[in-house]
Amino acid sequence: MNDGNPTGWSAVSIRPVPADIAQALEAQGFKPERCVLCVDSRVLPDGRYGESWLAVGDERLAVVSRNGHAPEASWTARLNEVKGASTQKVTGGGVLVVNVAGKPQEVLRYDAGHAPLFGEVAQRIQRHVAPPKKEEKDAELAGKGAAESAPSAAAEAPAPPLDFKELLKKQRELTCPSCLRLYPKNTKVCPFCVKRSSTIRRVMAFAKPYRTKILLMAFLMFTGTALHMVEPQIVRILVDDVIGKPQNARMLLPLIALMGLLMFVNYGIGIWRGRLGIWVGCHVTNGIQGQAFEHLQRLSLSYFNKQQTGALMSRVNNDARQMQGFLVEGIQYTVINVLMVIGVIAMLLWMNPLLGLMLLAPMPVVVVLSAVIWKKIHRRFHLLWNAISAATAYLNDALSGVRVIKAFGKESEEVGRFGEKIAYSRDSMIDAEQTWQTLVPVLNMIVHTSLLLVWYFGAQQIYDDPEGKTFTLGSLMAYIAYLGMVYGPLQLLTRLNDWLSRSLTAAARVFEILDVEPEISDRPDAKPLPEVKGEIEMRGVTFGYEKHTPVLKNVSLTIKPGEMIGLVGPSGAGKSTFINLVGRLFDVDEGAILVDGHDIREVKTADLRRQVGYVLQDTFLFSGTVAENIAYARPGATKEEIIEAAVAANAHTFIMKLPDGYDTFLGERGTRVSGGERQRIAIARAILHNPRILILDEATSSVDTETEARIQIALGTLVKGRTTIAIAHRLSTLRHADRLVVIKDGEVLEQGSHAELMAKEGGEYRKLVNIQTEWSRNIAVGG
Amino acid sequence: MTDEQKTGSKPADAAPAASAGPPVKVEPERLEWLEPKSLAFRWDGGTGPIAMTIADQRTFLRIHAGQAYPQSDERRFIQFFDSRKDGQRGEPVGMLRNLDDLQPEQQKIVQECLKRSYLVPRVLRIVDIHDEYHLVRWTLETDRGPVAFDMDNIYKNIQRRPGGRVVLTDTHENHYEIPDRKKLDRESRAMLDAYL
Repeated sequence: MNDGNPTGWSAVSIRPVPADIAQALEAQGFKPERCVLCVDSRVLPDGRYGESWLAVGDERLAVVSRNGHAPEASWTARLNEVKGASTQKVTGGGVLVVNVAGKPQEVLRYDAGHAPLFGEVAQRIQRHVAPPKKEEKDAELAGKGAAESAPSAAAEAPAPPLDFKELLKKQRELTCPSCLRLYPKNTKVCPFCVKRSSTIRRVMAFAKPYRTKILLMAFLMFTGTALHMVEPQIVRILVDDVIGKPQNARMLLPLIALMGLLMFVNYGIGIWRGRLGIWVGCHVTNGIQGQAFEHLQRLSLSYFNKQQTGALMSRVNNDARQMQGFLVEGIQYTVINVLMVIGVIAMLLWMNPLLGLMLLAPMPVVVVLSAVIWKKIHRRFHLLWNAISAATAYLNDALSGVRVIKAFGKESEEVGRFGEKIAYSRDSMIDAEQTWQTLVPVLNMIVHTSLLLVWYFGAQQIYDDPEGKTFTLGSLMAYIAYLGMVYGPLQLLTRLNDWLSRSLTAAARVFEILDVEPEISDRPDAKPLPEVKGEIEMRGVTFGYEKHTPVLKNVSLTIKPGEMIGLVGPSGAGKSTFINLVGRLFDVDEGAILVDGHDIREVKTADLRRQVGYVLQDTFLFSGTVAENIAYARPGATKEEIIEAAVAANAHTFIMKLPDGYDTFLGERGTRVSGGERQRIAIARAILHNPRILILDEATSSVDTETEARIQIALGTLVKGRTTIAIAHRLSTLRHADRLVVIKDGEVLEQGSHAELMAKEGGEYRKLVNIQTEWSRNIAVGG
Repeated sequence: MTDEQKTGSKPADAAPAASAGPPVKVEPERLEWLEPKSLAFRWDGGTGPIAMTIADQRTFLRIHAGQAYPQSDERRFIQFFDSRKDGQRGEPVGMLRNLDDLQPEQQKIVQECLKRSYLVPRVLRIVDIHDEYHLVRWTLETDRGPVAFDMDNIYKNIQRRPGGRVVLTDTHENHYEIPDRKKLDRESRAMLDAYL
């Protein structure tokens, strides 16, 4: 980064303001003590990467960018001329638009990572210059809800001061203090600053319970390597003192026996160490995997909304396995090979320093060469791997989409496309394997040429020393044996870096999950929630999945115990968000939700969820029996209770028709049940769960009328005596509702009974009903 | 069903008139728990029909029976069904909580009735499993006698269930059940494990 934060600016910035930017700002008349905000977007006005700083002072706003060399102000405006501010989303980022004296100006571009920051900046400026008033829509509003949703006093409320302190504090927490990059979403571990050593240390922490075994492994490795070092020495004695001197022939058998014993012990140690290594490696990985899964289960739904399930699965499974590969084999190989290389070098130098040095001279060449060769080979295998997975993915697509392919008669085109894919993977495979088959022998050849050196220089030494005082034929044999031991490990060690990097990245990815903090967690002082009557009150609730784009805006609503509310509105209106908030799957941004007068953020989440039941659109059945699926929310339920719940859900008859009744296995590899049956199992599940507050997000659009009637009966039983909030995608399913609430664009538009709402000229509900009636009439005529 | 209930639990006048409810009339399900002392079963042996009388009032000349939990609780929760004209299983009649609540000879009749509706042999011993081209040929001894069948796609048709249960499905969709893999004799188990 640039040189330090000039005095004063750090209070209003996230990253340090570079001196030249500060100068440019000061030249514009900005003073740090009279500024409330100075942040940069990392995108220049023309869209290139660079530094663009937005400064907000008490009188003026300015954007200063470093365009090429000296920073200059690209835009400036007086605060009292600013009539509004907003952000415009563009692909890969956004634009801050400031309305100056009625003319909107695009003042600053930013990348996607900075969108939340500038979204909130715009929101705050907007609220300061144009405090929220009663909107024009009010004229259309009717019913009790309207009066509650926007108090009329707001129009006269004084403008909130421009205050970014809290925002700055929050943003600073999202920025890596060492490299000043934004953290990736939902984590506070900077991928650029993760140190290998710290990752290794964390992995080791998981290995701690097994330290006696690990120490034993280390001991075995050390002993094994030492024993390997002894072998060539026996060879030397054998050649010099036994084979070369027939009078010592009686020593032949004992020496060979000693060699045999050494070999035996060595292999034994190898087996022991290998088995231990696998045991420890698997246990460590398993521990990490288990903890990652446990942690995932604790995370809030918002985390899963932003992550692909596939990517998470790969983290828990593949990354953990990759780590395991390293833990099981990698560490052992590394330690053994390093010990081996050190031991051999020491031996060679000890036996004959001059010859030793000469022989070790080609070593750096071998190291560099094998590094280069491995890189080449690795790249090719990577391509091959890509080609294969592309072909597999294509195959998967084509087979699951086979109905579409057949419907359009595209079989021959698809065969052609698949042909291309496998041709590509064939060529990649040939390329990769041929490179392997060429380069590996070349490398081995280079290694073997150093043997020629040993033969030549070794022979010279023997000629120079005919008495065999320092160098003998035996020494030469030992040398050759030692050389054979060192080059293999050397080649392996050149791949170590690559191996280590990949495993540590995998480890870091797994740890990344562990580092995510759940957004919704019980407060330390969370109170238990007693059995509730089921009154729900929403007080000025505002919420957005991205805080700067609210999905629900200032919603206020009171639901009486036992009342059934039907949520109506076009898709995207915020209905699903509404019900998610009641079960506290997300926390509201502003306002509060109260159940029986308790703010749901102040009570134990487990207590709340026990009393809130969901029957969701996409009913998920777990792999297990029908009975297990029904008893999911109450594992202790008796078999009779399960049957009673199924009867109440109108599901008993069809369950008894399944091959194994309530013991029928459902799920991925079990018996398939239809959508309507699935829903009734879910209803039975909810009946057995017996929550005070029931949330229905039912989809009856995909079932026939008879099935729908069955579901309606089941729902009728379910909602009796419970506070119910239901989203109905078909208005006919709202027959049970006591009150209908119409939501549009995140706001409560109308509420009342069906008759009241239908009586409203130009009402939103009336419009919706008319559209649907028209629609079904068309179907009736056309179909 | 003796007493009729109105469809839906809340008054229908609140329903949106524009999109009228479904025209299909569906009865809500009810479950009648049968009093064991009030039941009388009759069977003349062989393949003849099994009749049931409830409280000396209602008589069903040909009944069917099925367990709610044929795997985990085969003696409890037995559902009886009326017979349709074509001899197929018809409307549910009622449920018996426990087979043991009946007199021993009555139990035997109900068991015969159950046996007729649940044709899944239990594997006692595996005699042989071998691959034949793309099929796997199984030779088994079951509680219903020896059987041999072919199976394709062993990944789909050998299903492991909790508690050591294994369900085999042959090329004709017949099921064969191994109640507990661990309780098989050693040879059978060794043969089976090679395919799991």
